[in-house]
Formats: sequence, structure tokens, C-alpha cells
Amino acid sequence: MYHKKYVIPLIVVFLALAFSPLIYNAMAKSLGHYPEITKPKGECVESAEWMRANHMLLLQEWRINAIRHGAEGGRIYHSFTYGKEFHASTNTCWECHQDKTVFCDKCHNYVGIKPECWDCHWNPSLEIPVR
Amino acid sequence: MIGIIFGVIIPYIAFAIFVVGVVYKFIYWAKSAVPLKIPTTSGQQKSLKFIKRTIYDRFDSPYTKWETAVRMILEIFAFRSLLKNTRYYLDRLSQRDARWLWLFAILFHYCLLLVLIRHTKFFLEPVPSFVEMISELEAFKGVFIPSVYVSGVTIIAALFLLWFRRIFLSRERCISLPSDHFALLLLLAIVISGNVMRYFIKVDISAVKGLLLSLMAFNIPQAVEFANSIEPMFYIHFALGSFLLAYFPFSKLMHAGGIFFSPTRNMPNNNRAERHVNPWNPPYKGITWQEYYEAYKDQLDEIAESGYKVKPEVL
Ligand code: HEC
Ligand code: HEC
Ligand code: HEC
Ligand code: HEM
Repeated sequence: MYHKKYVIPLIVVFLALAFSPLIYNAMAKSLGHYPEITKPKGECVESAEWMRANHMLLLQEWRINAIRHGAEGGRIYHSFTYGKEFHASTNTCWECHQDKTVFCDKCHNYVGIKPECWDCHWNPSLEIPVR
Repeated sequence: MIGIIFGVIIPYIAFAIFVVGVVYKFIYWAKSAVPLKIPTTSGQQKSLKFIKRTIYDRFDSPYTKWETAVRMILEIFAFRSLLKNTRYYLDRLSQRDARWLWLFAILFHYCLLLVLIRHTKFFLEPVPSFVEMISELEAFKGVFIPSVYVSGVTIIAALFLLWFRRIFLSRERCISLPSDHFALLLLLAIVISGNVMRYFIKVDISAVKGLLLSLMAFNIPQAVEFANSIEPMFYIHFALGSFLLAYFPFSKLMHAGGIFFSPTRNMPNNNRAERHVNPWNPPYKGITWQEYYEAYKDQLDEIAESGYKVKPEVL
């Protein structure tokens, strides 16, 4: 092997990069970690598996229906899993999920996203500044 | 079953092939000799003092290690040798500049960099703040839920452009091998399945992250549990991604590591100042004056008789 002086550090750097997620997580002691999400008892709007993957699409559908077709009854949403009726609004979620910080935020922090909905919409964990 | 095969077994195998393959390639390349000094340059070589060199010459025709390193960095981040390739593309009749490869390549590679940086949020817990920041910066938020990532969509366009270049330009079509098309199509399949998964057929991302973190912890039972709960759509993306990892070291994609080994890029142009020894040369053993004299005694004596100096003055 020629140029060992350069090649060996290159290999070391490559290995460090390849295993960097493992090293990072081991140092943060978060290997195999999954957040504890406080869930209410009962049923969600749709089945829990569907909600976990698709709740943002549901909210989008509700937003479009409420704003564009609200007068024609767009605010009424029929759950296709349970057949129940829901009022299409962000506030509906808070009827059952009563704390945003231990539910939505736990999971969103885990996957590293920050939905901006709460810049405008109300949520139960909102801290109203005292005048 | 799909979960166990494509979520647990294949990713481990693919990652092992990737790591071993890349290290193998590095060592294999490092073992081959460089018989000649072949830095391709496009600047004034360092020469006599009165021959001026500008800053461009220093990095186009590097003389020291540091200049070579700077040229290498520029090559990696700006793809300068693709930009310099004008002779082939300048159409003799119309003199149109058509350096598409540089444009499309730079578009693709920077999108890929952003996509891969954003993907680390599936691997790292807690998510580093700069990854979150990059995601926030390039997301079109609020217009469409889920928010649209610019680089994730652009990368599809860039790959199609790279592929169209190989299909529609006659000269490129002529020199394209099946493996050239295959690499592009594989990447296209990955990025399209990724985007479909993000915008249309959603999967449970928190379970994906749970799966990846348990794979890293070698917590197989937990990994199997997560793997079984994820929708099949994810496995299209993940299996293709694993395949890419396994294919990477043995394909043209390995140019990512090969760039460091390309002699035309990584050698300083100091031919005249430093002797480059071909490592293939057989070991050289000289002979002493005494042995030489013994061998050609008669001739040398004859020459010396006619008044020439044959014996070296200093020995
Ligand atoms: C009728 C009460 C109710 C409403 C309204 C409701 N949820 Fe739920 N939600 C639940 C319950 C109960 C669960 C737990 C289901 C389970 O574990 O089987 C749940 C589970 C979930 C889950 C899956 C969590 C997990 O980790 O399994 C998500 C995501 C979710 N809800 C989002 C929402 C969103 C977004 C809204 C507003 C559009 C909403 N929910 C409205 C009761 C509700
Ligand atoms: C710029 C402020 C703003 C942001 C950010 C925002 N919204 Fe809205 N949203 C509104 C306004 C204004 C309405 C209309 C309210 C009305 O007409 O009753 C609305 C209506 C809605 C509705 C239907 C009406 C209701 O009562 O809820 C839904 C659902 C909704 N938004 C969801 C979302 C979601 C999900 C997000 C985050 C991705 C979001 N919004 C972000 C301002 C905002
Ligand atoms: C089980 C985990 C989980 C829970 C609980 C959860 N979410 Fe999410 N949510 C996600 C994931 C994962 C994404 C991101 C998907 C992606 O990147 O495409 C997301 C995305 C979103 C988005 C779209 C953001 C964007 O910009 O794309 C909205 C809006 C949202 N969630 C609202 C909520 C609300 C409201 C709640 C609580 C009632 C909630 N979520 C609870 C996992 C969860
Ligand atoms: C093998 C490891 C990989 C895993 C676990 C993985 C996982 C994922 C997941 C879960 C998503 C959905 C994102 C979301 O919904 O927010 C996604 C999207 C995407 N993936 Fe991958 N992926 C991998 C490899 C790759 C590779 C190698 C590429 C590029 C060549 C790629 C390109 C994309 C693109 C373009 C998207 C679209 C959304 C975006 O831009 O983030 N993925 N991937």
C-alpha cells in the first residue's frame, strides 16, 4: 500500500463518518429510544395507526373543507373508520388530547419538525402572557 | 415478514457491504502504483523567479501540498474539471456553450447533500439544531401540509435532466453504458419513492426513527416490532436505499471516494523540483569505480594513455 500517511487517516475518517450516528446516539444515551406519549383512552378520529401516519393530511383536508366549503357543510367530517361525526377544526383535537406538550410536541421533537400552526391557532398548552 | 426482511436483515447486510466495500476499495486503490507524475494543469507551472504566477496559476498548477489541497477542495465543492471541459461541448458550428454536465451535476449534488443532511433527523436523537434549521429554511411551510422540501423535489428534476442529457444528446448517448443509466434510474427510483412517501402515501415516521434507532442499538426484538408496524410504502424506499448502499462501493458512484485517489488531481505539479520514482522500477544497485575499472581495464588504460582523464577526481 502506497501513501499510508494519507490513506489510513482517510479510512479512519470514513469509518468515523459511517458510524457517526451510532457514536452520536451512544453519547446522547438515546439508542433504541422512543418517546413516551401520553394518550387518552378510547378512539381517535380514525384508527390510531392511520392517525400516526396521516394526521397532517386529515388536518389539511379539514382546513380546505372548513374554509372553502364551510357553508355547504364542509365542517362536518365523517370518520371512515368509526363513522362518527367530527367538527372540522384544529380545536377538535384538544377535546381529547388535552395537553399539546406531552402529546404532539413529544412526537414532533422526536422527528425534528415544528409545525407552525400554533402561531395562529389556539392550543391548550398556550401560555397567555399576563398583562 | 416484509418488515423483518427489508427492515432488519437487508439493512444490516447492506451496511456491512457498504463499509467493508468502501474500505476494500480504498486499500485496493492505494495498492496500485502511480508510475508517472500526471497532474493535469491549466496554469503556469512554478519555474524561474521572473516568470510570474497569479493566484489562479497557484491553484491550477499547484506546487506545494497546500496548493494541491486547495485545488482538491475546489474540485470537490465546485466540480471545476467539469466546468473546464469546454472543448468537447463547444459546438464548432454555433459556438454555443453547452456545459450541461456541470450545471446538472452541481444541482444534483447539492440537493443530495441537503436531502442527506435532512435525513439525519431519522438517525440522530436528539435531532441536531442545525438539521432542524436547514429543514425549516428549505421547507415551504403552511402552503401545503406536509410542508414541501425544495431540495427533495429539485433532486428529481436534476436527476431527470442528467438522464435526458444521456438520452437526447447523441454523443452522450453513444458513450453511455448500461451502468450509467442504471445508477441514475436507481437514484430516481429512490427519490421518487421518497417524495411519494412524503406527500401522498404517508408512513409513520416516528416508527421509522424507532426502527433505525433500535437497529443501531442491536435491539432486534424491538426493531422487529417497529418494522412490522410500518407501512409497505416505506420498504420500497428503504430497500432501494439499502440496495444503493450495497451497490455503491462497486459502481461508478464510488467516485465520491475515488476523487481522493485521482492522480491528475492529487499530485502537485513539481516535476522539475522533485524526482518522482516509479515504484515499479526494479531496485537499482550501482557498481563502484573499482568494479567498473576491473571490467573495462584495457579500454580505460588505453584512453588514459592518449592523455584523457578517466579516473574521477573525487572518490
Ligand atoms: C374523540 C377523541 C379524539 C379526538 C377528537 C382526536 N383524538 Fe387523536 N387519539 C385519541 C385517542 C383515544 C388516541 C389513542 C388511540 C389508541 O391508542 O388506540 C389517539 C391517538 C392519536 C394519535 C396516535 C398517537 C400514537 O402514538 O399512537 C395521533 C397522531 C392523534 N391521535 C392525532 C390527533 C389529531 C391530529 C387530532 C385532531 C385532528 C385528534 N387526534 C383528535 C382521541 C382523539
Ligand atoms: C397565518 C396564521 C395561520 C397559520 C400559521 C395556520 N392557520 Fe389554520 N387558519 C387560519 C385562519 C385565519 C383560518 C380561518 C378561520 C375561520 O375562518 O374560522 C384557519 C382555519 C383553519 C382550519 C379550519 C377552521 C378551524 O376552526 O380550525 C383548520 C383545520 C386549520 N386552519 C388548520 C391549520 C393547520 C393544520 C395549520 C398548521 C399547518 C394551520 N392551520 C396554520 C390561520 C392560520
Ligand atoms: C406518533 C407521533 C405524532 C403525534 C402524536 C403527532 N404527530 Fe404530527 N406529525 C408526526 C410526524 C412524524 C410528522 C411529520 C411527517 C413528515 O415529515 O412528513 C407530523 C407532521 C405534522 C403536521 C404537518 C407539519 C408539516 O409542516 O409538514 C401537522 C400539522 C401535525 N403533525 C399536527 C399534529 C397535531 C396537531 C398533533 C397533536 C394533536 C400531532 N401532530 C401529533 C408525528 C406525530
Ligand atoms: C437508507 C436509508 C434511508 C432512509 C431510512 C430513508 C427514509 C426516508 C423517509 C422516512 C422519508 C419520508 C420523509 C418524510 O415523510 O418526512 C424519505 C424521503 C425522501 N428520501 Fe429517503 N431514506 C433513505 C435513503 C435515501 C437516499 C439514499 C436518498 C437519495 C438518494 C433519499 C431521498 C429521499 C427524498 C428525495 C425524499 C423526499 C422527501 C425529502 O426531501 O425529505 N433517501 N426518506
